[in-house]
Amino acid sequence: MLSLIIFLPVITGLLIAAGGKGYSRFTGGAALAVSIGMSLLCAFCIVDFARGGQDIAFMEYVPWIESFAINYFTGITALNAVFLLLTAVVMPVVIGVAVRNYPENAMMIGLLLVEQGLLTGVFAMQNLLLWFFFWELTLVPVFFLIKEYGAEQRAFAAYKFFLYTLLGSLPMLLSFLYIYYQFGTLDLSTTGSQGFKSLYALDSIGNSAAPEAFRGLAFWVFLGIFLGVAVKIPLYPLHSWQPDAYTQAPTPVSMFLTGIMSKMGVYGMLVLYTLMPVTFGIHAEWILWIAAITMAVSITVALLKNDLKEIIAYSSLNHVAICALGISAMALMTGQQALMKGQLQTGVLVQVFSHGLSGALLFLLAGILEKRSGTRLLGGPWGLRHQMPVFAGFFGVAVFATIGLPGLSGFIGEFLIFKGAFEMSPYATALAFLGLIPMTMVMLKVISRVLYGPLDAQFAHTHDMNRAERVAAIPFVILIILIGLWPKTIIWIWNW
Amino acid sequence: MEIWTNILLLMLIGPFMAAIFGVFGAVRAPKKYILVSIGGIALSLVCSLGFLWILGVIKPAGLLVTQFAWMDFAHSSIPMSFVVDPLSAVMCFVVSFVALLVFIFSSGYMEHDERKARYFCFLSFFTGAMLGTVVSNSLLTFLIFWEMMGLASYLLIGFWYQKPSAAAAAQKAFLTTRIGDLGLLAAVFFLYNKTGTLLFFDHGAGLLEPAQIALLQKAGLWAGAGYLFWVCLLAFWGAVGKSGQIPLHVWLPDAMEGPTPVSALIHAATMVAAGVFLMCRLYPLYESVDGLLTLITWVGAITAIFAGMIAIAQSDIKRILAYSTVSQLGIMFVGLGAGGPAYAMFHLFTHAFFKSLLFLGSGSVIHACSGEQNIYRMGGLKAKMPKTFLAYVIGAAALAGIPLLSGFWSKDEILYRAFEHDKLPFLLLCATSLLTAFYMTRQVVLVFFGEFRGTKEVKHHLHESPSLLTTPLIVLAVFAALAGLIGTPWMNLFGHFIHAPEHEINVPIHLLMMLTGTALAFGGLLLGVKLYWNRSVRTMADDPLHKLLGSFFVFLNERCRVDELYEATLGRFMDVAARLSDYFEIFLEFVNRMVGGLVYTLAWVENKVLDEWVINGIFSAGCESARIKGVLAAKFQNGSLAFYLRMMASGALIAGIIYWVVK
Amino acid sequence: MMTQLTFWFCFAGALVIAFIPESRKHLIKGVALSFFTASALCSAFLFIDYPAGHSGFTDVISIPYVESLGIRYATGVDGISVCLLLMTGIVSVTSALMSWNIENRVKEFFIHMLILVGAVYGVFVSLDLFLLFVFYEISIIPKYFLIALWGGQKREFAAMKLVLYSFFGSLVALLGLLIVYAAHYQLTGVATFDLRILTSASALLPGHVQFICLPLFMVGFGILAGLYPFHTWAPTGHVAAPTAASMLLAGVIMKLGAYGALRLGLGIVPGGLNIPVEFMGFVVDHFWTWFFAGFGILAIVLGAGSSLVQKDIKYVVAYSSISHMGFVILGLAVANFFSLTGAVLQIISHGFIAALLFACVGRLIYDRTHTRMIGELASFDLKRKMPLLCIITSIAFIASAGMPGFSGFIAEFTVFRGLIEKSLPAGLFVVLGILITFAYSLKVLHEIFWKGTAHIEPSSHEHEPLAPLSCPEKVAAAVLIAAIIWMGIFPGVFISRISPNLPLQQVVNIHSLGGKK
Repeated sequence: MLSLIIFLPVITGLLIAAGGKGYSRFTGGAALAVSIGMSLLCAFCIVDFARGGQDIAFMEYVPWIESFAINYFTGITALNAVFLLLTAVVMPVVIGVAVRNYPENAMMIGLLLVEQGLLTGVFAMQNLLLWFFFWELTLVPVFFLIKEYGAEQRAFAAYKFFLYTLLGSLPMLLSFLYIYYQFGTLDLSTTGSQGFKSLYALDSIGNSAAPEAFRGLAFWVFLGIFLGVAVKIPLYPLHSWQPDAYTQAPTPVSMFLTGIMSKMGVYGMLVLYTLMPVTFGIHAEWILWIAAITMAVSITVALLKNDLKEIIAYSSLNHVAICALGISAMALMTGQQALMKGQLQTGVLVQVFSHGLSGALLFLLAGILEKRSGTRLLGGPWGLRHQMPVFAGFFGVAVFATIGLPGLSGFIGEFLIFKGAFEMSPYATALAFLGLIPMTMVMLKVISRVLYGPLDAQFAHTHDMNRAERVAAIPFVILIILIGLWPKTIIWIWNW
Repeated sequence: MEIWTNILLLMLIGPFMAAIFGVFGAVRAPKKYILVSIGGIALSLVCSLGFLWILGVIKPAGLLVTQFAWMDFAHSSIPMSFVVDPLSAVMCFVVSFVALLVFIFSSGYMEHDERKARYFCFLSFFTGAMLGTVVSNSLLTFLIFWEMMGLASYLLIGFWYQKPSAAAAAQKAFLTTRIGDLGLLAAVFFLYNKTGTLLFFDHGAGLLEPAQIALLQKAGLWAGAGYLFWVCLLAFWGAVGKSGQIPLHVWLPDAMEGPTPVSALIHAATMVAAGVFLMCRLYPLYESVDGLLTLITWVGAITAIFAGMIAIAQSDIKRILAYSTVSQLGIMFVGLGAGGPAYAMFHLFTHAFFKSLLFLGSGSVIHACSGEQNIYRMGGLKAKMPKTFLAYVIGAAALAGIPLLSGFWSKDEILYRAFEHDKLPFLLLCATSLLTAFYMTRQVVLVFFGEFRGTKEVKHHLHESPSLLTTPLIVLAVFAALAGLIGTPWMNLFGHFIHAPEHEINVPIHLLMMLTGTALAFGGLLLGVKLYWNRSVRTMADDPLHKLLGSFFVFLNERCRVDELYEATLGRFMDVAARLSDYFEIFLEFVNRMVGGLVYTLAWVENKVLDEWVINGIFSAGCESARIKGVLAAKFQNGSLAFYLRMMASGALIAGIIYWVVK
Repeated sequence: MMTQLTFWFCFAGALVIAFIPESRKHLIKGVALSFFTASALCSAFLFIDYPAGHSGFTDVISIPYVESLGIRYATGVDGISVCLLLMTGIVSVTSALMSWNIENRVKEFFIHMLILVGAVYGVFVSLDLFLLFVFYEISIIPKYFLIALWGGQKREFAAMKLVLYSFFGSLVALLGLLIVYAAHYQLTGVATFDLRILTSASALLPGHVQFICLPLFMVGFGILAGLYPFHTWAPTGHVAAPTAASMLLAGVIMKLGAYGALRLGLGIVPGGLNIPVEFMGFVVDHFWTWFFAGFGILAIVLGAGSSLVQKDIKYVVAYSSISHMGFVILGLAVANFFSLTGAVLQIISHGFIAALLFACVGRLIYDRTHTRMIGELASFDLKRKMPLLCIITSIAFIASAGMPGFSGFIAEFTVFRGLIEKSLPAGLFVVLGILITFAYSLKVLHEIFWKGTAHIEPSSHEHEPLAPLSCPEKVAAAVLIAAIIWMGIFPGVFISRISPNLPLQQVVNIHSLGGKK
């Protein structure tokens, strides 16, 4: 089932990208159909998993390289369910936007479809090698999408993005291989309770399988994986690819860059935590500080920026770093704090989902605005509230969700994460927490520049969001409000 | 599910439903929609009356709690919870009552605004959020509604978004209150982490119940003060932000950019008082920490006098009221710190009536003067608009603390408690009430007496407001006059109702206080009359107070330059921080390029030196010479086999020798 | 029987063509292609026929030749050689297709090609080491002529350099062989060149013999496999050679060296790797392992570095193939289960990839633009004019950079896996190499395709018409890409044939399979 969800989009996407030129109407429809279909299927699987409540559902376990004992192993677990769901929610919209804005660009649409499959693959894979396999592959379409369809600095941004991510992921591969060498398998397990041999809590004292040599090198193995994850999230000082990439990418691409790809890093960090909780626990303190600094500094930088997409990029830097904050706080917790740990993990996952929504929505709206105004730079005040009230409403929801206003989804995650983090490391968390002030300043600046003030002459004839744009935005808005008011809607999926 | 929970839900649903209607297509039929929203508020009012009845008659001083799971985790859950106790019942009544009147007033006031549907939508949303805040029994629930209020206030202050000033004011208001709210949020985190619950009342396990308080008191120290002290401080910081106390008071006067009814409801009667309400709600915690109540008292007192002083020098009718609100809130905090919730709540109660009355009155005045807000360009409105005048005067008198009016009773008790508690704040309060009486007199005289100083066409348009506007004024006037009577020292119904701890009253001192209050009120009154009576003040220059105080007056008029101060300190700080962070970014970018360049250069050197120069040089020199000599080449061209075999043989020979050696 | 056919078909083809008049160009090409295809089919059959997971030689023929010296005519295939045969088949066919546009001296050209390929097949199938050497040496001569007669600039020099290196290498290797031969005779009294016997006897050979012979084999064969620092024949050779020749050179000939080193070096005298050396008081354990592994890593990093700075794309590709062969050397030197598997995988995968790269660079691009200078190529605006070409080349470079999903990744990751068993830090250098590889691949692609002609003034060639891709070119490219992706997604097919046949007697590693026991 999962394989279908992974590979059908990849194949159709490749076909469209290769041969779709000139059949714009058909390709658009087909791509959208496949994407939505697969998303529905994925959602169905996740719901089914949540109902069943076993450790892992829709498991596929096939030897891939027998003589190396490497298996093609996919499944839905409590850890990746929400990520899969996020992909399923965001990607169709992304593709829809692409189909709408670049109908002639079969290449772009196809690549986006491929990307949907690959991202699903990243989250679904339960074998570290195959995980890495997809992790790397996701770079390629993004690279081309940025380089081909991006803004003026696109080539530079694309290379920076690619090489930076590589810089992180190769040490990760090294660590994986070392784990493979020491434990003879790469099959992942989020609970350690499966029948077959699987990697779980490698470095814990209880793990008799862990050889001494591994204990000795545990930190370096950890560091390797952490590098890969930190670049992806990204954490300071490895982040400098991110603003460029987000800013230069075309709207749909930046939508899923911030919506999903940044979450790959968070997912990786969670996996890392399940793999070696003890080592993580030992080093969580400084990781937590790094995350806190990232949050504070990134959003402070945004105060100076005048490029809407860049501002959003920095704000999402802040919002993904908070997940890192939460995870490292989780790692600091002891067995006694299981209760708090559960809440924290929930917080992280909710934050992942909600930022996936709000970030993507922000970029979507920024794209719409860019189309109207012809520039990413904030002029203003533009007073668009008068000309495009619907846009104003959506924009308001997106911005206040980003600020983390209670009643919108952003608050839930931040609340739970900060709560837990304050318990573990008050000073670092306080630093991160103060980041909410510049966050508010920046976002209010944006909203007042765009929506408030007398109507700017250049927008005298701008029309409000058309039906397609509304259809694209509405699911996000609904989910944001729904989760904000009734978090059970998302929490029940991983019934802790 | 008991009957009262249904009532509760009804009370919340009314306004929220109205708001939701407002979002979807109220624009088509604004008139109908306004009626709907007013209906919603009326519903809440009825419900709150129901609560008063329940708690007053059926189960006096009862405590009704309900809760339901909101977030579920493996072994824990964070519930939503609501409580109805006398405190919240009273507050509900105040909110819904004032709200109803304000709605009615607005329906007239905003008649000609084409976005009035949106306006009522926001206003209903606010009322719902406010009621939610009042009845919430969990800090989290409280926080959610609290922030919703903030959002509503942001939207309503910026309602006339075309005005840049309004946009700026909205932004400022949200940011400042948000800074306060972060404190509250942090307090929530700490409380929750320590106690594992966020409920106020939970059958003995709640935060405000002895068991938890004892636990919190035992909790460890930080920087010399107890855990509980810091938590309460953070929570107080939140209240400071919402209630516009020093140093976070700057947003409240600017908030007057919003429509006047909004100022009446949100920035006078209800939302700004929510900070006080929060303190009253958490009073058990504050009680059990020493030092904090004193702090609160001092903050309140200083704010009161500070705002009062600024108020006397303002020329904008609404700004005067705004600063007066700040100052009155300060008095409430003093009441809380010195006396207890009963006193603070009582002043909140009365203040809600007369201050909203004043704001609505000023709205009516502004309406009449076609948008003019400067009191220097008003005057002699008494004749033109008698009803408004009457109501306004009653309100002003109540605020000034003229005996037997509501303001008198509430303020007098606070004065008394302050005197008992600490002398210096008491003196500050006395000065404040003097100032209060003075600036209200100044305002009333300048607005209603003398001859009109405005422009011709404004004068031409002057008229009494329609009954839609005046009726609420009258109703409020009645309450402003009489509401105090339920809280007189001799028959303290209010105190009984919220079953505040009975303080023994030292009668002579109390009487003395009453006299003092009265004296101060009349002193201020006389001073004002003496200075301003039929004096035609057209500009700030010929304001008698200006002649009296000179540049200090100007300084006060410029609100003591607090905004400029913040701009120069905090604003500058944020700017510097941003620049530094940006330099860091640039530095990283630089490092990237350096590394890239370094790798490339090294590769280049390696290629040139090692590959081409050393290795290649050596070997290819050999080949070159060989080729030129053509020795080997020749051998190749004419059949290579011979050569090949010869090679083979020689190789074998060498091999043999070597093996021999090795062996 | 099939084993025989593989190379006899080629030689027969050469013979047949010899009787076709020079004028019948198309006939010649057709005949050559059909013979190439025939032997390719044979090798494909062998590949399919060889059961996965099975070990040992099949289809063995062994005929006495010089009894007294124990020289026999013995051929046979095992899992490793069938994979290599398949690779040779595919590469040879595609290279024939890629040389479809040869016009001068077609006859000789294809004769040389056929002899060359035949010799390569011969090396891969011969079980008798003397025979192996004969084929090995035969392969040298056509190489020389292919470069010297059909090559580009400085062809004579390049050809000579190549030949000298090859001879030097084969001499050294031969020396090693003779020593082993003699030693074996000494010990057992049996004079034989038979690979199987010598391999099984490798345990008997005394340590010092192994210690001396191992480097002789490694260096002797390694030279042809681009062993650093004896690699400099490769850039000049590849660049000067005509496209088909450079495809074969990089795709197949370099692999001969690797194959020899594997079979003889690790097959017969693997013990040499493990012998410690005392040097000025320091005892270096696994001396030769570290020695050659070091040079392997050096090749990986420096090769990549060199291609980063080249101005001529053909040089870029040439250096990249050195850097990739570094993985093979590394794998051989580390010599445990994974690294050896990886080495063989890399041999195969680089066979495909290098062939594709040289085809793109030398044929698809150069024959149209007549320049290989990166700076000039940008001005042709190839991306717009020939999107297909752009796509093919991009795939080639990305595959060679080691992107998952293509064959390169599997091979390199396996070598990696073997390497970290020896030492984790060494892995970091390799990581650096891979990073640079990605860097230059993307750089080249950017420079020649994606940069666009906007900022090149005067963009002289912008409007030159370029011939579209011809059918044979498309077919060849398609075949190679298919092979690369097939191997990248289903590596099991190859691994299951390779891993059981690895010469692991001496160097069995406790962690070899399925992790710690």
